[in-house]
Order: sequence, then C-alpha cells, then structure tokens
Amino acid sequence: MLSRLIPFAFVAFIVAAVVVLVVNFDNLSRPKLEITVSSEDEPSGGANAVSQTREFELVTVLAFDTIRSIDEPIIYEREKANTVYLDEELILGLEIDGEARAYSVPLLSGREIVNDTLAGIPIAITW
Amino acid sequence: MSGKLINNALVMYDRETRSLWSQFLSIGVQGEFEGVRLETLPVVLTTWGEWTEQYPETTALMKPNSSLWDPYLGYYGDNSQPGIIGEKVKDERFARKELVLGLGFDDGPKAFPHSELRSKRVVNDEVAGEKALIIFREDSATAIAFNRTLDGRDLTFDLIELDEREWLRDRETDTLWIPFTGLAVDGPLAGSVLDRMHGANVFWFAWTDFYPETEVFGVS
Repeated sequence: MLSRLIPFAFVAFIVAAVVVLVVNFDNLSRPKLEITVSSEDEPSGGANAVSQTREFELVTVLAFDTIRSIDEPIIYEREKANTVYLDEELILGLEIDGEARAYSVPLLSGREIVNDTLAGIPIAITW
Repeated sequence: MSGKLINNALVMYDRETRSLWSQFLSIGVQGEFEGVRLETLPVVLTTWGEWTEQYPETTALMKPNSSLWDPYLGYYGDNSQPGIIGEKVKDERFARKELVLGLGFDDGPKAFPHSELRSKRVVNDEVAGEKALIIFREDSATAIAFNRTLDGRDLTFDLIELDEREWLRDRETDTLWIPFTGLAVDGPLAGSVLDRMHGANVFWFAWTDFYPETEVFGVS
C-alpha cells in the first residue's frame, strides 16, 4: 500500500517546488537597487549635506533598444514646422541661450529619447 | 532606452558605459555612473500654439506628417491602468491619472494637482525651503515653477491683464514679468530673470509611488 503513495508524494513535491519557484521568480528578475540621493550639490559632505538611501526595484520589461532613440535628429525651421505641427499639439519646449526648440510629444511617445544638440550643448530629451 | 523601469518610469542607458540612469530621479543607478546626477534643463510641457507665441523663431523636431497619433492616447485618461507594472502605493485623494506638477523631489516633495492650480492660476508658495512661484495655463495644461527669491528678496506675484496680454506683477516693486519665461520687462526689476525650479508634470499615481509621504498643495 505504501508503494502506491510514493508517486503521489513525488508529484506533490514537484508541485510544491514549482509553486515556490513561480512565486519567487518575480523577485529573481527584479533586483533591488540602493540609490543614494543627496540634497543638492554638497560633494564634499558640507555641514548642510543631507543624503538618504532609498531602495527601488529595477523591472525589466523589454530588451535594450527595443525602442530605438532618435539620434542626429532632423530639425525644421519654424515655417516648415508649421506644416506638420498643430496648435493644440503637445510639445516639450526648451530654450537655451536664445535658441528655442520644440519636440512633438506624440512623436516622442514612440521613440522615448532624442539625442540632440542645442546651442552647442548635447542634450537628451526624454519622454 | 534600456527596457527597464523604476516605478514605471524610464530607465535609460548610455552607450559609452552601459550605465543605467533613472529619468525620474535624474541620477545614474547602476554601473560606472552610479550616483552621478544628471543636469536637468528647464523644459516646458505645453502646446505648439503656446510655445510659438513665446518663441516665434523656434525650430522643431522633424515630423513625417501632421498626425497626432500617440501610442499612449488611450492610456493618458485611463484610471484603471497605473503603468505597466502597476502602482505600489494607493492614495485615493486624487484619481490615478490626475496630472500634478511635482516639485522638491528628494529635498522635500510637494505635488501641485492641476485641479488645484486651475482655479488659482498663480500660486505663491514654498517648496523644500525655497519660495516657489507656480503659474498655470488651463487651455494647454502648462504648469511651470520658478524660484521667487531674487537677490535675497522674496517676491509675491499676481496675474494681471494689460494690453490684452497676461503679465505677472510683483507686489514688492510693481515690475511686470512674462509668465512663461520669468523675464522682467518693465519696472524697477526689468531685465531680471527668475530661475526655473526643477519640476515634472506627472500622473498622481506615479508621484506617490516615488514619494508616498508627499506634501500636497491645497490639501492639509
């Protein structure tokens, strides 16, 4: 009679092992990062420096570069831009040293990052 | 993009070192640049119409056509979808997708819900120990914050209409300022510029995931 119970025990063990693995797999693929954020720029740890370390989960949902950034973007002058930008269109706007540039939000939604240069400064527009 | 998220927010990587960076926190989080701060620039989230009124000579990123199609169109207003990985903190004082102007961040987080800004339109407040000026434009949902201490003096602002345009006017000197840019154009302080305060217009659920203990403007 005992010999009949062994296969059941074996299966129960396998099921239990699978359940434990599945429940913990999520944790295995979500490493915790400790990020120390300091209150403004006090690199030498001046009297007023306040820093706190917080823990965040890093979650992977896609592979690197699944969404490819825009590099070396083509830039339109105002007149040309008016033919494709609508008044009600959401944009991210940036002005540096008198140079102003707009980045279409609908377009950014599909590309996430634009690596650009404005007024000689390398910038990354991120959405 | 790295394909990774922290609290549903973008994690970038740099091609030079493959370090990972948190967009929301503006800091390197893994690799050679861990702990390194990114310098943020005073971007404005607004409409093309609003932007070109301020900057008629603006350039713009190329678009292939005038389509406004956005893969997130359905997502923006859907309160049942708090990001790809869901929310960690439930705070039901506001709807998940309520937009808030988040200021202060790790120095002392304070959220300014657009629903609170809508009626006020200009707010003189304090965030993380600094005097803050917030202006709001309803039609474009533009919310911008400035530091309203200039050369050691705290200024208090009102919105006024003059010559069919809107201006900020400070009570201390009656100087007129352009709301969008913080530039003083008429009066004793003409030529001065207010510093922008680092902020982000984000969903309420996203802000409370980073800062569950956040202060909230208009809510005691």
